[in-house]
Amino acid sequence: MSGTGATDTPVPDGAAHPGPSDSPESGVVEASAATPPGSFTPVVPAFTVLGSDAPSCGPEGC
Amino acid sequence: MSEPITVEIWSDIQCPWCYIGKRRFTTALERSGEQVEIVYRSFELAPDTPVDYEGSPVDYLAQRKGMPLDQVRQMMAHVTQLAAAEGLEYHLEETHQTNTVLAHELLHLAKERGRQAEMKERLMHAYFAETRHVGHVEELVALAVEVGLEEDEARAALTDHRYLPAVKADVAQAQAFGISGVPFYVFDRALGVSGAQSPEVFEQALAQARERREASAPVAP
Repeated sequence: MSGTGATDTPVPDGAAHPGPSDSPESGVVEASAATPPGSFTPVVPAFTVLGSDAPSCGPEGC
Repeated sequence: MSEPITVEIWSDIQCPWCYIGKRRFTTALERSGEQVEIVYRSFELAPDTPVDYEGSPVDYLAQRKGMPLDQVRQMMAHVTQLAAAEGLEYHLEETHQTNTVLAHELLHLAKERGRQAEMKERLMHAYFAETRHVGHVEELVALAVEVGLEEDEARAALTDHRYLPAVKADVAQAQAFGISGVPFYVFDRALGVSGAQSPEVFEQALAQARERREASAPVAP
């Protein structure tokens, strides 16, 4: 089962963006805008993916 | 005493990496000693799956991924080994593939009653270790009662679907975040971790979340 996370795939503006490949902070992503926890209103912070290749499951399988 | 960090975790009951990630995150929490408030968010990996899928889990994954059956079995054996390393018992070839929307609805009821962590653990153990069917109302009600939820309320909630909007809101939020795979962890709506990372990565995220809190805290006059 390979990783299917939000990394290494093209993403639309406003969604997760891959960060620099040489980042020491593998697996950590950062949002540019904070939203109150618990809100059910979808918000679209500009997540910056600093690098991650951990196993996960997506709609196409694990 | 410092305020707890809010950690929202998007995952699905049938996601083997989510349960492994859950254990790794717990290890990180124990090592760091951090205070956190965990909220489990819904993510439906396969909302089109029938409640009573008529094939085996091997058939299901082979169809979903377009892979040969032997390759799927090897993959399952590998994940089972990794799960065992985290102290988890998996019987992947005997699980009951199902639609998990009701289980997610139950998790939202459990959240309102302050039993979400217990419900999440009970559901995942029931699915992976006990190979219980987690798509039927009565099976879910039995599990709910085990973690202290009220039987009639659980049955009513799973019948009238009062928590379905909350499930769909979580799914919509995941889409808005660009989350395409689970588990996915969001710390204070500011930092995120994708996948079943090592405890070290989770520790790093917890430390960064704490630093952000302290940096934004008002300075005493």
